[in-house]
Amino acid sequence: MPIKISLDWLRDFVDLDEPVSELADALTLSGTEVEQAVELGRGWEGVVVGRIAELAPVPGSDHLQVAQLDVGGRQVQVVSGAPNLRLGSLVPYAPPGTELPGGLTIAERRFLKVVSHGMALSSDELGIGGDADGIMDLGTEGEPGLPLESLMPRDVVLIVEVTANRPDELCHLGIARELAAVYDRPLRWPDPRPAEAAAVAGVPVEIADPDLCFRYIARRVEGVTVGSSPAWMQRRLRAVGQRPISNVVDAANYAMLELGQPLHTFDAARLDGGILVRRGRAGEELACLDGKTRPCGQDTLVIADQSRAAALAGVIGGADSAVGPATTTVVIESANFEPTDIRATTRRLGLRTEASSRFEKRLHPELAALGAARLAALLQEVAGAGPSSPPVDVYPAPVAAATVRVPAGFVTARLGEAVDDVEVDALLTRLGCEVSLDGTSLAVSPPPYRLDISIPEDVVEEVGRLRGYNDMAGTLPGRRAPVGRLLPPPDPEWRARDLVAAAGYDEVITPSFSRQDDPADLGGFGGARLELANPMSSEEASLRTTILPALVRTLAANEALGTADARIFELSRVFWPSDGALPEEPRLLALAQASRATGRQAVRRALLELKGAVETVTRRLTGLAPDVVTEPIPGMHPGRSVRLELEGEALGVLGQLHPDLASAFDLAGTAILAEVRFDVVAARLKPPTYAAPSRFPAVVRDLAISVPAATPAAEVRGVVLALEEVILRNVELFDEYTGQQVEPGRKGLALRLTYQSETRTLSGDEVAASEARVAASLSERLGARPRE
Amino acid sequence: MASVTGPSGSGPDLEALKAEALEAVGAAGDEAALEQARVAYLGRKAPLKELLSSLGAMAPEARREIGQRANAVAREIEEALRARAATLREQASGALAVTEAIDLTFPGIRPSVGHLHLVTLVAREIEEIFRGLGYDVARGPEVETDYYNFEALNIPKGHPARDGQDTFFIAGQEDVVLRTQTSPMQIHYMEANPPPLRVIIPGKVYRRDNDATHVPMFHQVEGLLVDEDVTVADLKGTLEYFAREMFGPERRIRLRPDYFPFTEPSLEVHVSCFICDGRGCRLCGMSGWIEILGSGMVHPNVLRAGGVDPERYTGFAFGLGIDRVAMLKYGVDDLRLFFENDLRMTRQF
Repeated sequence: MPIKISLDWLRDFVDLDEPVSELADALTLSGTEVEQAVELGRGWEGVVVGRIAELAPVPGSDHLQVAQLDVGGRQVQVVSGAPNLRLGSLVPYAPPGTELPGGLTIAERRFLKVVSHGMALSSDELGIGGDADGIMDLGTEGEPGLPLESLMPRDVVLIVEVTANRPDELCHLGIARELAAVYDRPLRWPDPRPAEAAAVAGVPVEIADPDLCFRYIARRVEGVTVGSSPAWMQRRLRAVGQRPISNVVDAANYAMLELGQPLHTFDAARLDGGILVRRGRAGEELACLDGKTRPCGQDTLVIADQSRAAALAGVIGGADSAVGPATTTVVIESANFEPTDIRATTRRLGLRTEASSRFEKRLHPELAALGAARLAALLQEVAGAGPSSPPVDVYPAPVAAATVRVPAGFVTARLGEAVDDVEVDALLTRLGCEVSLDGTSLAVSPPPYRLDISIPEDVVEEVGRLRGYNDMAGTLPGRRAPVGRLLPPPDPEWRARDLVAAAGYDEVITPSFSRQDDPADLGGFGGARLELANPMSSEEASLRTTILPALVRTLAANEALGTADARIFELSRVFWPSDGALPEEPRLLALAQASRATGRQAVRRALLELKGAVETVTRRLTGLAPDVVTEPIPGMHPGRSVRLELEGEALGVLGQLHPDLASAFDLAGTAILAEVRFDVVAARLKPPTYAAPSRFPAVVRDLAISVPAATPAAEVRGVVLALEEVILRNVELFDEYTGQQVEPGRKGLALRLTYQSETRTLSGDEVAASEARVAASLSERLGARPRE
Repeated sequence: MASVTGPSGSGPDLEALKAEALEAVGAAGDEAALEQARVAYLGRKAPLKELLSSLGAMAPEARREIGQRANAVAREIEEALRARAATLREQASGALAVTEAIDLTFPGIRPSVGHLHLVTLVAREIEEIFRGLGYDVARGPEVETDYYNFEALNIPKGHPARDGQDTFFIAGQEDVVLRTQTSPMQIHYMEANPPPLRVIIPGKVYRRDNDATHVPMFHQVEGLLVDEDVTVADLKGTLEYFAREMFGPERRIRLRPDYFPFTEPSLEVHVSCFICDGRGCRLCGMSGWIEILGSGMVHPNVLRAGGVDPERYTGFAFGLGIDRVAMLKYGVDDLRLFFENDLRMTRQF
């Protein structure tokens, strides 16, 4: 969680004379990342304070407004699209000609015929980060026409990313503490001592759910005059991005940003009796400070008075009990809530506040006392409050101080670099830990605000980060050889990708999400999908069961960009719903090939190329070729698609995209597709076997025949192989033709017969005899006729 | 053709024959004409051969003298034939340069070799580096239970670290998620493989996010090493080795303490910027350092969840974004490009 830290404010607690970049590095390298150091005032020459005196919509626009700004004795007109313009607010104003920190020079501009003389600025435009959409709202206290620096004097604001385990750092005191430890420098601990009088009555407090509220402190102060807070407080709040509201609200905010304890104030007059911390009741609702009414039923912890809920505990206050202009008596709440419950409430309500985001990271209940005292003192200082009642403090189960036992030598063993006990002691002491030697181990008692230090490994981290890791020598773990294999076996995914790429296909990686407009059924692996409970869009609301639709879309997108000859593949997991808790996640290898030409010959060639690529993968990995089962495949051309099997197991599909779908995908050409279950291949991995090649000459004979047009080529080959001619080493079908050269109803095929013996040179006669047997068998079994 | 029988008493007129033969050889315009000349002057029926075969009938004195002269002439003609043949071959090849010329400045015909996706290439580079250090490579499921994705990694329900990883949940099923990190495989791997172990796990991960540097599906590599006496220094040395192999031998690394629930201590690893070498540039945001991965010593709770005794074993783990490394290494400025699959990009690698 990023927070803004004012350097000026930090100096209340620790002396810091180092250059900002050095401070930022020191924090960053000890574990508190400074994302940015913003110099307030840099590049603000010419920017002045303006007050929004009039506000009207720009005619013809749904979001632009035209504002008349009072800039000290005169008015200027600016147009803005910011959603947060409020009449009476002060805003930074840059006249035409101003050069902003980002380099932009302001000019007079027109929006829908309305002239904007300069600009009202966002904090982003002022170079101090934050919200770029809204105008920077400077509150209402200030002098129009004065330089912006009159409201925001020069300071440096560190934007600090605090990790989730360090909620103690979500405040100025926390960062100051960290810097004091890093630089080994004294810290000026805050010690607020509000005036107290026993005569001032406190507020009774009862915690009905001590498992959700660990501590509740209430202080009551009278004689408050609500007004604006003093300039020093407003300046600091503005510097860290807060808008001043009123002295009471500002003081509570200020104390939280200073000490990290969320604080709330009630108008005592609007509370019906004492405070009751309880769960909400069925149907109960609360009108909140932000103007919204939220349900607070059984699942929500509330701060209630004797009759109704007055705040959502640890999240937001109620509007009815809030401090207003007429408030004179204030009840200060400084409490501690159970983090998981706060987190659940903020998620349920979709509302996250400065308070909730601190509570949900677990604060120490001890902090509540300091916060209550600080706010009481501040109200006395800035809101005219009289003495505080003694705190009413309900703390049913005080958190016991933790002690972590760190065995002797543990820190050295874990860091891999010798650190002696004296150094460990010194470093931990700087962090506020108490360290004592307990036999052979160190007993480390972390300070209460460091709830994150609970096991010896945490102590190692503290020592490591304060020493710094960057001077440590790196070593390689190598005293022991890893058990098992030194190198893993070859990965079939690597080989498959290499083979398919070598065959000319480019690899793609497409999202695992199925799209709403995917065809209901394309290929062999369509079907029920796993739905997401919280998809990013209704377009991509389920997990895919097949890669093919994404590949076709990729072909179409590339075709539109001028790559019409795309050949692509992807090897990824898909998700098939199963009966178990988790889906099946088969790996699919999908290939797709675009073909601009849609003529029969071109498509036939593309289909056979793609088939060849699939065969190459299975053959090279398993020594097996897939079998083809002629059967129309959903989403594919009914006469040009087949199912593939490997040793009788379903492997996948191959075919041409159905012409109707090609146009649905906006594909001008056509697409040839294949998709196979890679796990079926990977389960049969087999290293190649060697057979000595024959040393005797080969005799090659080409045979041209015609067969009835419906005869599958595989059958022709099968008939030849069935003869089991001993000297016939290979039968290859290398051409198919139809049309004028062949009689109607028939097709021409060309076979290449390769004869070779392992043991001798073949004679012309025995080859001719075999050839004759082949021709005779083809003629007898398939009605083949020789062709010239 | 000159007769070899010259004026009586002067013996055969070999000089005239030689002159005539040399002229014929010199006049031969192609290989066929040259062959004709060879047959005419050195063939079986050529006068010179006839003369040589008639030597037996001559007086021993004349036989020797005429024989020597005739053989000398034959040698000279042979030499002339050889020379002429060479000349003709040379001339013919000179003509080929014109008649059979092929313009080889024409672009080569590229074999159609496909390209692997950049993410695959970078993942392989990472795998190779760690395989060289003896790491196994494992893969695992992308749909996970809440237990493996969070609980076993020391991120119980309600832990604030869950917020940083916007999780996709599977509809209609309690506690089933698309994994937000490859870390669940740490647990699976430890459950199946007792220490000492070293493994890297590349794979897809999912988060609900979409902009130039975040997409809902991206790739990570997880690394895990568990053994006795593993130290932070070992982690540092390993990652230094990796950074130099991956980004060049001049690279330095910087460790910054960070927080992850599944490691303690936790460290973010920065590599000195390989564009500006640490002086500060746009790529590294003027800092001179680029964040490349998160790492740390495996939290004892995570070891326990994997069935490993934390009293005996320690380990380190790290995780890095493959896509991020690819972006950094090749200057790709928008993560979404990796999943749009414009082949004009794919074919550059």
